[in-house]
Amino acid sequence: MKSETKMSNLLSDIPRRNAFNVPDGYFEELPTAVLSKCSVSKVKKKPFLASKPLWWSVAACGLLLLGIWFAVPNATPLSDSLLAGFDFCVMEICDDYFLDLLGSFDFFELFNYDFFDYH
Amino acid sequence: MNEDVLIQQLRCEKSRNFAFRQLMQQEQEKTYRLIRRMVIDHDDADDLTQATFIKVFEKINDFEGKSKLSTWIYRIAVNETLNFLRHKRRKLFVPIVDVERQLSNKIDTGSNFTGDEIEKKLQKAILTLPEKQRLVFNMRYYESVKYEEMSEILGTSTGALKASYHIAVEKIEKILKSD
Repeated sequence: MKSETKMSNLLSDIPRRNAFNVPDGYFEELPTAVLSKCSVSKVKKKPFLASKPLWWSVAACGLLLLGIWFAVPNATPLSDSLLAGFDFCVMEICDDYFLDLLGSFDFFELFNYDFFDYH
Repeated sequence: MNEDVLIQQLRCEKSRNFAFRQLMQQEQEKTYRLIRRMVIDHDDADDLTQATFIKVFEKINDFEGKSKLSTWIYRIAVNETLNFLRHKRRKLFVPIVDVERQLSNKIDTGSNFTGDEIEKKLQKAILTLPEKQRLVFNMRYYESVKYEEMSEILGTSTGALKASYHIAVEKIEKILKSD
């Protein structure tokens, strides 16, 4: 409070009144004006695509996928490895099938038959 | 009305509008006057006062009750005002002095200032102070805000605020004497 007590007569002589004019009825109308804006902002809904969390999550997913892509550079593409496995399975099944077929067939009988018939 | 009861009513959907009107009746004039002394123009002060109370309405659930409700409202008003002045400066691409000169001209030309010559001189002298010092001077000189409350509003120590006020008084007296 020292500065106030030391204040010269020059400043302390000036009246501390509010010299800025306000339009008539301004303070009576102000709460209504503010409340009308508050209710507008409360009712106003953001469209789904304009929501920030959505775009942040899309960006995060994108970054995550990029990270995985670069973090595993030598990995065989998923589709190729699947196809390779599929080919191998098919070949194995075919081999088994033909072996079974061959095993059940009497070649010698056929050979003999043809042989005799031919001659 | 007790402040705690008022806050409870502000947080309740049913009583919110009624409580908000009461809060505004308590705080609007003081808040408006602080803003008006900083921006001078009524329309700007009106916009900033409305923006302040809209924020109060929207953020009342974030109010932690560490300070008085009026202190919290003052802090929002100060932030809004300082942001407005900074934005104005950036928008106009003009040095600090020019914005203050513009505000000073508004005191001369504006019909909304009813003070006499010495009051005009005082307002112009206040406009020569840096923004924060101007805030400190206006709060202490016109509104008699305590240094402790000012410290909560501005986030500055009471010692620094006292020094700032003292320097502001000296500067203003120097200007008034020189004219």
